[in-house]
Amino acid sequence: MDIVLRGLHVALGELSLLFIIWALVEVAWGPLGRGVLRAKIASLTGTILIFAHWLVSGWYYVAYYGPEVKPIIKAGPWPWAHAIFMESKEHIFLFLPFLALLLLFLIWKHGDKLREERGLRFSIFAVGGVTLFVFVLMITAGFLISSGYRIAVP
Amino acid sequence: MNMKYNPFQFPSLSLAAMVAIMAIVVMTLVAELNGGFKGVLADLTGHHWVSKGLLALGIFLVTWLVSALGLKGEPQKTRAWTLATVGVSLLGIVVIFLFYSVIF
Repeated sequence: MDIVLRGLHVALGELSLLFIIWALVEVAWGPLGRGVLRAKIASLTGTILIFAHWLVSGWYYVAYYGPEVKPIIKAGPWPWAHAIFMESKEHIFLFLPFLALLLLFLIWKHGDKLREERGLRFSIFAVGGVTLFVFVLMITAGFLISSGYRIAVP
Repeated sequence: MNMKYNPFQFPSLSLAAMVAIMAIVVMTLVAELNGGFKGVLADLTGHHWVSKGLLALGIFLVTWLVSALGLKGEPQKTRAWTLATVGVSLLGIVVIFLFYSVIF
C-alpha cells in the first residue's frame, strides 16, 4: 500500500503543478472565449488535485513516513533531511490549498476581464508565482528527504 | 447601512488565506516549543499535523465568511490585498524554514 500512496503523492503533486502552470500560461495570453474557459478548467483541476494531494500525502505521511521512514532518516548520515526539510515541507505545504483557492477565485470571478485588466493579471501572477515557488520548495525538499533515506539504507 | 452580504469577493478570501497561513506558522512554532500544545493537537485527530491542517481550514472558512460581513469587493484594492497575501506567505515560508534550521 505504501508504494501506491508514494506514487500517488508524486503523481498528484506533479499533475497539480502542471495544471496551475497551464492556467497561468492561459492568463498570460490575455485570453478571450475558449482561452478563458481553458484557464478556468485548468485552475479548477489544479485546485482539486491539490486537495486530493493533501489527502493522499497526509495518509502516507501519517501511516508510513512517520513510523517507518522518519526513524531511518534520523538515524542516518543526513538527519537534517527530516529535521529541517521534512518538518518545513509538511508545514509550508499547508499554505498551498489556500493559495490555490485564491488563484481559482481570481480566474473564475474575473474571467471576462482577463484580457483588458493588467492589474488583475498582476494579482493572478503574484498569487500564482508564490504558489509555484511553494511547489519548487516541495520538490527540492522531497529530493533531499528521499536522498536522506536512500543514503541511510545500505 | 444597506450592504448586501457577498462572500465571493477577493478581500475576504485574501484575509482568510493570510489568517490561515499565520495560524499555521503560529501553531507550528508553538507546538515545537510547547510539548503540551503538540499533545493537544495530536489528541484532536490522532496526529498533530492533521489537526493543524483541519484547524487552518476551519480558520480559513470562519474568517472568510465572517469578514465578508464587513469587507467589500473593491477592485481598486485587489493589488494591495494580493501584495499583503504574497508578503504573509513568503514571510511564513522564511519563518518556518529558519525556525527548523535553528532548532536542529
